[in-house]
Amino acid sequence: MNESLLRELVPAVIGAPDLPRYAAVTAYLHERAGDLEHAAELYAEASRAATSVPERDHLTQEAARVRQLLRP
Amino acid sequence: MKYLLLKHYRGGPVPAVDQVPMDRWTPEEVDAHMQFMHDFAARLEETGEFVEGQALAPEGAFVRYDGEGRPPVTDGPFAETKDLIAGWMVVDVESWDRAVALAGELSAAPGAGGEPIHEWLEVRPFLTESPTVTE
Repeated sequence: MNESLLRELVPAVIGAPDLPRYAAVTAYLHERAGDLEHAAELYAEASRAATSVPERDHLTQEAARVRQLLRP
Repeated sequence: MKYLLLKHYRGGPVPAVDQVPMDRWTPEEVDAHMQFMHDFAARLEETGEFVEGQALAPEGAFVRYDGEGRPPVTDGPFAETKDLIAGWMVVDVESWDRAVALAGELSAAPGAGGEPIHEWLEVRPFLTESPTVTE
């Protein structure tokens, strides 16, 4: 995943890169690109920046889901 | 009598077991934990003991007055070495012992490997506004 392309793309999609959505979108893009380790960390980071319990719970579940994919 | 059950991100007594971050549990373990929390609150709503619950973001700041005409001083983000409250549940129960029993149950929420997390919960009595009158 090209980091500078990512940095350009994400704000264009979601506007100002406020942390919860930026981290969640970046996590999704990393997962799509196959970078699962990084995606799981980003989902976990996004969960800590969530502004509601449902958002936090969803992002925690996403992090756990992606980490599970890394296990043999 | 009302009691506050406080959950801490960090601080409090030494953990009884290693607290594995939730994002490192399996999806099934995360679901089981969330289901447990939901069921616990639902049971207390049925008994009428549930008053309210809130979760807090891990960020924020300490704020104090800095003198006339001056803006308040903020001190943040919170230091990693200091205690940090994660949220609370307020219960209205018959006795301290009941509050302790409930905190003990909540502390048994399943975590990594499906094992109880043995989390320390802080239990604090509310100060009542007026002396209780016994009949």
